[in-house]
Amino acid sequence: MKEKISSLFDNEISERELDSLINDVTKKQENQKNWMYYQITRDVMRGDFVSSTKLKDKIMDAIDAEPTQLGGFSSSMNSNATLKSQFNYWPHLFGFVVVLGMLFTFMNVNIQTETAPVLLVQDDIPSEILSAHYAHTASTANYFVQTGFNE
Amino acid sequence: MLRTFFLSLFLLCSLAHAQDDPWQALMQAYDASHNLNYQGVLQAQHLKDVKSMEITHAKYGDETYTRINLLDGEPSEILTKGKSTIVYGSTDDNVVIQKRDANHLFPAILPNSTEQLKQVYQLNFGKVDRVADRKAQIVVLMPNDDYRFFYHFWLDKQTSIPLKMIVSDHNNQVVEQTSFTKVKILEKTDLAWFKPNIDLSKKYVMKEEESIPSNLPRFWEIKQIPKGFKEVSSKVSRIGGPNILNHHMVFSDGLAYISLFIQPLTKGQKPRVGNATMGVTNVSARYENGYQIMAVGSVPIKTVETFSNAVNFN
Repeated sequence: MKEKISSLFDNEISERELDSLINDVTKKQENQKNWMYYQITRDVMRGDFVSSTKLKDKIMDAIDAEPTQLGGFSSSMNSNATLKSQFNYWPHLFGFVVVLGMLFTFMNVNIQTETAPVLLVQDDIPSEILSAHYAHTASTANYFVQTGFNE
Repeated sequence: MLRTFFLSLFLLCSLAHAQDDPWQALMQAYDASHNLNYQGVLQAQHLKDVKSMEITHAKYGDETYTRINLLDGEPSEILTKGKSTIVYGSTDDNVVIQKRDANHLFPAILPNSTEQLKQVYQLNFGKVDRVADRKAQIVVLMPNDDYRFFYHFWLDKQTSIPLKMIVSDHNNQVVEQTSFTKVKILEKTDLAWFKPNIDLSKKYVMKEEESIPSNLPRFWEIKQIPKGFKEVSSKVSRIGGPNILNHHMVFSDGLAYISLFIQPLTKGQKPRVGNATMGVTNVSARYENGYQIMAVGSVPIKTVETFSNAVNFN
């Protein structure tokens, strides 16, 4: 249930699940607490929370203690201290993402759903590919013969 | 006697006609490289790498026979009968025997028709030169576009056999060069020479490739390749698991050859992208839909890039 409420505030829930979730939340007291917790957390992160600064600080400290998705804990960066300055970058970041999206669209770049690290072929030309090529197309015997046995 | 007279007369008439028409000279060169009997030593140069080899070629009955023996490096040789080619390649302990598809090795490098070449090359006579102590007429194939290189042939004045070939790029740099250093025309020959030079101290190992039908349904289309190039062969080989197949297509305009590979990437394998040059060979790699696409050839980088981009998945 906690995950469902969290998903709701992250806009990651379908409309079909929304009705049943609201029914469940309003019935149980435990769920009502979670509802409030995620609502406050969202507001604090957006900078919309207008309650006491102490509560805001506590929430940001708790967020700092959470492991990041990219790996490990963000020990070097205190969210509370940098919250305000970070949020100032958001409009620029949003603009950058929009421009990048337009660039990808115009350049017809195929964005892979899974990010696969790539090798530059100049750093590693597969020998089996060259051998197969020479074995079928070479015009001189040395390439025709020798490359075929390097496989 | 009468037959020899008419054959000589026909050859003289053909040579006279070939002196006016360079395309006819090229067809004469194709015929001579396949149908005459000759023996000689060749030198092949790719950039700074130079290798020597001995060649014997004969027409015996209706079949052509060729033996090429590499004189430098590890002992290796090629025996060709018609369209069947067997390669004997030496490693440290073994001699690996491998069957190959039909080859197009110098001097029998020209196509049996000039129609395809006429679409994309201009052909002109050059000066008369001397190669392997024989008079030779130079003919130059100049490409109509920048998707292929220049081909220069030195054709024997007496027999039309190509004595020398130079491939050069658009900056007039030599890409590859093959030339007879000595050659003799054989009047009569038997086939006593048509056998591999066996090294009894080594173990002979057959290296056979699994036969997979190459007419499997294709899930891609090739679109917008440079003019004059046609698919001349295709081969399917298995890499890794039972359903992981490597598709290898070969395209040619009659002189230039390009390999196009389409193969699925296996788990953990990193895709390769971009262009590269290795010696005289250019490579262009692309990754799409989980497939590695690579075009390889001794052609300008622009050409291999066009081929790798020509693959459109259905």
